[in-house]
Amino acid sequence: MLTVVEKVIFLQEVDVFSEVPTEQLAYLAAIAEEEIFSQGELIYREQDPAEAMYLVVEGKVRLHRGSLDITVADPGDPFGTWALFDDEPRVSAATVLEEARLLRLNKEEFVDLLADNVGITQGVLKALVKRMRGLVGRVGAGSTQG
Amino acid sequence: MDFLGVKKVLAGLVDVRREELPRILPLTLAYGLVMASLYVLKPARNALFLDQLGVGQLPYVLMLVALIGGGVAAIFTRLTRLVRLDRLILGSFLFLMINLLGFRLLLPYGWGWSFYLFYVWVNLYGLLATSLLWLLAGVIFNPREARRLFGLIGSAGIAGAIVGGAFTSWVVARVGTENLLLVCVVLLGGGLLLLLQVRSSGEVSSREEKKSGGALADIGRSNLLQLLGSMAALAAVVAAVIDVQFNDIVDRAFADKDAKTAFFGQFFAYLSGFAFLFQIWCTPRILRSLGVVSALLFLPLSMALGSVAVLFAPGLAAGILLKIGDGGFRHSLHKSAVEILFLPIPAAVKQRTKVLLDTTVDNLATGIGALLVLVLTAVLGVSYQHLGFVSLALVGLWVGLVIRGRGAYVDAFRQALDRRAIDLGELTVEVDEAAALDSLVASLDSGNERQVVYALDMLISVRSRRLAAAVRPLLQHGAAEVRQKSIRVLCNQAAELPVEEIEELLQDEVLEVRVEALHCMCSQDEKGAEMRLRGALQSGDPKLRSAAVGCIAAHGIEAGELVDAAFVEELLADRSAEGEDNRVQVARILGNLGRPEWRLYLRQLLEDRSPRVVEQAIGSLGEICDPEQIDWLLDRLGDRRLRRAARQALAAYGPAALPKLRDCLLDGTVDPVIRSGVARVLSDIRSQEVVDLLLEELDAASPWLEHLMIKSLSRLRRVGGDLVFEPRRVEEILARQVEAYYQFYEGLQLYQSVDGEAPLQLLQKVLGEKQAQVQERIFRLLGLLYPPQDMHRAYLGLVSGQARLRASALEFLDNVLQRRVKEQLLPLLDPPTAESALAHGEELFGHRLQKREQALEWLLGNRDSWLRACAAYSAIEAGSEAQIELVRRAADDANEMVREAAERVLSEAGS
Repeated sequence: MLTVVEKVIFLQEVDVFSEVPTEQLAYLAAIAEEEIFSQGELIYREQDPAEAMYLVVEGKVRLHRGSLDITVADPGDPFGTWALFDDEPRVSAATVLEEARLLRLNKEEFVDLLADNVGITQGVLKALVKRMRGLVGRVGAGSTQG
Repeated sequence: MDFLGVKKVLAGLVDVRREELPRILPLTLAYGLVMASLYVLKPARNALFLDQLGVGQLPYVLMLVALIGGGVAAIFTRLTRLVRLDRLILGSFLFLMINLLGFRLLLPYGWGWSFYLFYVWVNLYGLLATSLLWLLAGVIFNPREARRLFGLIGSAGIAGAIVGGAFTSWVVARVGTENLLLVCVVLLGGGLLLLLQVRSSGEVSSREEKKSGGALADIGRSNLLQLLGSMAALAAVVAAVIDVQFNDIVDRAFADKDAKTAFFGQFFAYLSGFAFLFQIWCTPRILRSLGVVSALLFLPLSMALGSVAVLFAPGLAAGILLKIGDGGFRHSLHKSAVEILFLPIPAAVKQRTKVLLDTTVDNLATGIGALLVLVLTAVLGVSYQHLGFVSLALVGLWVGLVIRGRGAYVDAFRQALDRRAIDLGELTVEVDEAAALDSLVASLDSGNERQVVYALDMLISVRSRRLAAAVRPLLQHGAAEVRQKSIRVLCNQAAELPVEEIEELLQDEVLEVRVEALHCMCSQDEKGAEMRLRGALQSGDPKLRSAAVGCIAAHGIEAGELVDAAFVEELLADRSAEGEDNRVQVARILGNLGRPEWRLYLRQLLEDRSPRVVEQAIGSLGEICDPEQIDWLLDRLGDRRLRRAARQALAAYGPAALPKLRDCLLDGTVDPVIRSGVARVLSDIRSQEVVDLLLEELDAASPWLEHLMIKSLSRLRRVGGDLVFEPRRVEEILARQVEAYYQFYEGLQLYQSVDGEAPLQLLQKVLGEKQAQVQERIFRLLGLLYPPQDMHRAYLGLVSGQARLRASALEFLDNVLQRRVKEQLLPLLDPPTAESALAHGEELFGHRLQKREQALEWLLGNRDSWLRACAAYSAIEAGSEAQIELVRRAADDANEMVREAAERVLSEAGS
């Protein structure tokens, strides 16, 4: 079992949590559950309701649409992150390539935590704004070049 | 002294940081070369002029300098607005070099006008070349850098002057005076090449983009620029008076021409040496320790001292003392301080105004000084000795200006920090203005609901026939808030009221719209209002009835007689579709009426199954302040649906709730969410008792709670008006926070020096976060002692990540903080090196962590459990025996997270 500190080490690598102070990540760690999946096991299907995000601790997970591979999540990689923020169904399926230990962050518990913890909300918003600014910057640079 | 000792002394003299070298080195050398060329040209100019035209022509050429200088400076000022600074420097230097070559060809012809021209040109050369260099320096260095480095640039200039003068006297006999001009071409060319190496931010090449009213308009708008102009003018006038006095004294002391020349040569050599040493040894120290404003007093006070000496003991010694002030300080300490004063001025404004202030003002004021001397001595018969009284009067005015100018300097920094944000509060609309009304009416057609609501809010007090016509269609708007606000706006247009349409809204689906409609109908007929309300209450129509209850709740305490116990009980028992609305309104009415015998009903509503009803009942609890419900309200702070209402209700209790709030806040067994809510409630009770309680209990608080309590104090300070924050107590707490800041700094230094994997990187990150939190607390506490908005601005500047803003913030703090606070804090916030910060902290607090084991021991003993957990876990990465032993102790920590981390480390270490 991972300790809270170890979970935080993984969580801080997730893009949307990159601006959340580590102490607040410890609260997230407290609701993050470890799950073990065997090789070939399906974590979720395409169009399944999105109820959680995952983070690979060990192993590999293949994200795909039917037979079309989208990417492979290695240790430290998150997947299904946007499940935390919208109610859209899964746009891809996730299948275990190599036996995997994952951290699962349940959406409902995450939302409850956000409501109680303004520090996490601020951090997540900050990361999203940063990403948006980056996009706007790139669009601006693109249009200037164009 | 060993090498390290020498290095330390040099570092103290010249505090240059590695990243500044590419800017400071070429600029300093270039300034030295330019000054050297100037001091080659000056003797050449004087010698040629005196040799060809005689001393009798000197006053006329001085007047010419003032006249032409003013015109050229105006043209040059205009050029600085139109041309990029780097291009202007390139062009000007090339132009000056070509001029020098031209004079080299022209002067041997011996035409009288050419010596006049050369004399004036050399004066302008000195002013323009040095002014451009200082303009560049002001752009490429931020205020903190300037404070350290301008002294060095000034020193290089003085060294250049000494070398230039010495070189001239050494080679003139061999090469001839005219050929010295070629030496100047080389020196100036060298300076230009060096300046082309200066690299900095884009500001160097930023040209003015916006049109402005010109340099004079800029000066008119800025108190600081007015101060700088006035000081420059006074300095030039007093210097002119002193110059005459000094020449008179020397003239009387030495009968022989050669003796005078020898004295002048020797005196100016020593004076330059004195100025150089003063600039090297004292200027940076004075600027750092006494500040810019005190540094500005050296020149006028030394001039005053010299004037007094000449008045009461006229003689050569007094004359020397008189000139030492002017010659020794004007181009060293005073020049550096003035250049720093320019720093808070926006780059574009500085570019427009600096040359004007440096050249035109100096020239004109020198002319005025000469005229003043002429009138006083030739017309009024005042002796040269007694001109000292004039100097003293002008110095008095000058000192007054400097002292007053401190405020202008601080204000300019405040504005510089402010420029990062737009104050939305300034964006107000004057609705009475026809154009504004048109614009608001036009926005009523907007598809954006928020925009329409905003426009309606702005129009509520406006009466206009056109407005009624525009608002009427909104009664059918899809958004309930728009319908409600439209009724309110129309209700104010009595003559145009669409009664039938408003009556239809008494059947609106949304209660608030029905309430507004009924209130509007009642307000049109005050006499019949009670009857209309009574009729609605007794009506069989549940929508109309709930509207009436809502109307009494929202607007009609005077209609309270319509409400009795039977009425309340009937509504409480109502289980119809409108029952929930009615109970919400009853809860509101109970709060408004505040009858103690009806508290029972309110308690019943607090247990209602509808959160809306409970929320309203909590609001009413805040109105009647039932002491028996405080504990219940405190529990609600943990309920996210009700915490906002509970917080407001508890705050409404005021100091009466303080004992329970205090107990809850300090009780470690209570849910942190509730305790955090209590801290917030306290910040909403604007009472001296709350301030005293928070300040008193801070010592017992954990770091987490300490942060919340300081935030509460900070909020109280911002809105509190006459609340007193005992300064001594605040300073005590502040000193503790500064120590904590230093400890995190120490920890970071020890851990940053290690390249580690994830556990160590996490610990470094946590230390950085904790240090940032302490920094926030420090500024919140400073906000209790100083204007909170100023401290907030400074904090934002400091954490902005922008070097210039950060430097402005530090400079601002340097000017406003009391010496004791400043001396503790600034060396930690802005250390030249990490070692200097550590040495400062050790001196202040008497301790210093030397090894990582010591740091780990300190971290594991910290009150912050997250920090302890991360510290314990960091030992998993190649922890030494001593570290593992420390972690073993942490395995018994009271906090589960820490124990868990320690156990993992111990199991990995195999013990």
